[in-house]
Amino acid sequence: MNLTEVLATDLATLSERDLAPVDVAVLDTGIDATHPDLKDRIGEAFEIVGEDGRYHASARSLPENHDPFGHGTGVASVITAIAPNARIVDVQIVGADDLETGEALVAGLRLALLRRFRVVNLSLACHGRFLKPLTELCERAYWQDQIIVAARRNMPLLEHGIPAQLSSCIGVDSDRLPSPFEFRFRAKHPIECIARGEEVTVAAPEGKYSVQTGTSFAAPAVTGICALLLGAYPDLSPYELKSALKALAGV
Amino acid sequence: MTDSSTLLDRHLGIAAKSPEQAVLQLLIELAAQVVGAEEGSLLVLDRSQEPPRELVFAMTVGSGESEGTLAGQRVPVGEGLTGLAALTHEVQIGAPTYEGVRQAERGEAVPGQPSAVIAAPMLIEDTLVGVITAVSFEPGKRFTRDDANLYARAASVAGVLVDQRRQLDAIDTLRDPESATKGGSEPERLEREITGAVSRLVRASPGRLTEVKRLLAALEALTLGRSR
Repeated sequence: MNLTEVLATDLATLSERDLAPVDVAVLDTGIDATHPDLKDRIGEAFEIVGEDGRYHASARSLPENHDPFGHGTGVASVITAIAPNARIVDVQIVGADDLETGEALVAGLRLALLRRFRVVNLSLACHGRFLKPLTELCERAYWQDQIIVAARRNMPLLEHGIPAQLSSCIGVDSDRLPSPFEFRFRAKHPIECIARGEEVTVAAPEGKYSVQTGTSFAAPAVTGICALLLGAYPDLSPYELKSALKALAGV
Repeated sequence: MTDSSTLLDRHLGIAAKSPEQAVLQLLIELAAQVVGAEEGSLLVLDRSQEPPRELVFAMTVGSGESEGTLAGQRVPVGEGLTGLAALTHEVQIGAPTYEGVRQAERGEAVPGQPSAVIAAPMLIEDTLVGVITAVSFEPGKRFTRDDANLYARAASVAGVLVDQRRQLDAIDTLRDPESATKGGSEPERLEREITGAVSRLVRASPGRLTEVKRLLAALEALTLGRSR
């Protein structure tokens, strides 16, 4: 791998090339794998189940609609639209019977680390009390050459969002940008990337479409770009990938 | 506007015709007006359920028709944009779903669906107490990131308001232990009684605070250990 070659990459052109497949775990509300845009793009599906305060991953059948909210389906469709080489792994961490998203997020991330999915998209954040386990998991992912892309919180709180603000992750904020391949890099800020997250047309369950706004839909744009770069240059380390993002970003 | 004072009192400890109730109403009216929503609502988490599974419409401003019909209606936490905001503790922006990409991009009106929705969680620390929503039926209307940000700030202020009321109630309980048994839901009354008892214990034992602290730590370890 030649870093100079990476830095000369045109992302839109890259998305038209035949690239190596990259596993992308989407930890979210589940995905409707029957949607025409996502059909044959979902490789595996899991749900995080809580029993007596313990959480574990349970495999699910495909192709089925596992998304009661539509959020995860929208997120996955942003990734697949950018990166034709992305093989999506659906990990439902926000379910109908659980008010504790933080515990499920930790369990979902454990699964992603165990299975070494190359890229993990988190269009969610959790409370500061999960800082310690998430810091440890994200650090471990970094050393396993896994990329965690996480959305900044939309709520105006004191923190930017965990794990988005961790240095071992790629934090993403949103803005109105003309192209999904366009993004900005913000030096010396815990949330480094700014991607297209305003009025994004996404897939919705039952074969429908919607227009969504928020950091939730900006993070998967960066995830898709990461999948493209890793498909073309599989040996990129998290450090090299972040450097490449900085070099490729618009002003 | 629908004044579902009982719901606000039962679930948030906000009494009828209190300054807090007026401020909550003003806050939702103002936030809805600024983002250009025809309707704004406050849904409270039903804390009488263990664990809480539903949100209840407790206040609606703006649209006369909805003001009369929404109060008391229940929304499962596992459904829709309001449920998603409740589960993720994140402000969410909603839009209708369309059969095709072009319709979605044109923002055509969809019969039976609002054109745009914002749902922002009301939190005390990381505990959900309710959700405030903004709804627009104007064809093609879309809420922006700035609109959501504003609504999220309004929800944060509403959360602080409810928290302040609870803290004032705890102080009242200290002054008048019998007041702990009045108003609010059963869990809230129990919480006030426990808080009051601990505060009285601390005030009555100034020379034995270290022992009280150890005792409480042991109790906490025992309780949390068992709940796990």
